[in-house]
Amino acid sequence: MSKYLYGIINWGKKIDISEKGIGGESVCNIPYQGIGAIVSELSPSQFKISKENVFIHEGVVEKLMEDFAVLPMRFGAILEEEKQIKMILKRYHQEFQDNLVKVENKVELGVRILWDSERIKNKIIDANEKIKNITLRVNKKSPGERYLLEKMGGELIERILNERADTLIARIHKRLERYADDSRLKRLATPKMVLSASYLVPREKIDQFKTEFQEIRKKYKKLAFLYSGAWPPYSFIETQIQIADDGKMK
Amino acid sequence: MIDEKIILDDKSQEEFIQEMEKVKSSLPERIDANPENVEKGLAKLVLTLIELIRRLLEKQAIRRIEAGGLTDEEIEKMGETFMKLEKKMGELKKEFGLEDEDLNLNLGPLGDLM
Repeated sequence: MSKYLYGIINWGKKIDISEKGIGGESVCNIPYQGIGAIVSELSPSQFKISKENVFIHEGVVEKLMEDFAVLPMRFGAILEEEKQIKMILKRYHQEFQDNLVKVENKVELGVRILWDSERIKNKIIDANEKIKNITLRVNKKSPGERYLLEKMGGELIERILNERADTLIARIHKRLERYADDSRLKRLATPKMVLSASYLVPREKIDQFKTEFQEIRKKYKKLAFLYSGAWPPYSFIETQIQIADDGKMK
Repeated sequence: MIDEKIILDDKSQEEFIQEMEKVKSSLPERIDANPENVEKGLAKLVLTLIELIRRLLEKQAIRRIEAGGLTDEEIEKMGETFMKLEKKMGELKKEFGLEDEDLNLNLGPLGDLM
């Protein structure tokens, strides 16, 4: 019987968990020296990539987080045999412990910010002599020249856009990181999404973080803000697990 | 249950959904290999590499224009070639049902290729 893996917890004994896993199976802990792997039995037919199963997976992880530090697995981590699980626990024992300490009593909070990329691009074009010159030159040229000149202009605009994004992100991040132990930032995942960020925040600082977020939101009226959380710390696990022969686990 | 909440302006909801759908999922693809998928997977890989090279060559051309020393005719010729390349890429993408966002590789900790 295969095992579906939900995460690693900082508990090396049996646990009782009422939350059911994928396919309605019971969830249990496979312990090893102070830590454990949370799994449920899985027959191949039971596993589908579906919204329902994602929610079940998340439900188990969040339930565990009420009582333990959890290193959540990505959706779809399946192992063929229990001994593989024991092997992983043994092999990565130190990393798991370090990561468990890192995330204990902390949650992941997500912040995304949208800006009006068109408006800002136009502002840049208006304000920048070099770009304006290119725009003027472009009209006189033949198609091939036009194509490359437009690309050149585009590049310049992008460069300046990136700088503006960096400045904005730095200002906002400085305020939020005060309440976080760690963060992951991504600039311009899409032209409009100037910032997508995850923050690792201790539970007792969640309210302060939220308050700061609200104040930032009030200040930057032209931006659109999205806060989400609390999540299990998916973005803050450093360990990559690999299984040589099976290849199913990452 | 963990205190779960979303803070969002109602008017921004549509926009956020739109943008987030554009962002590629970071979950590795776990698709069973079948002939159709394998072909598409290969096409994706090959076109991604071509796209990367195309962009690098274009950038190089732009650098040369900025540096000067190219005649208008040379610029025109290069430009026409790149135009054709871009058009061809568009056709190939369409043929394999791939979007711009599909032609990228996630290099793990290094981020995305392009």
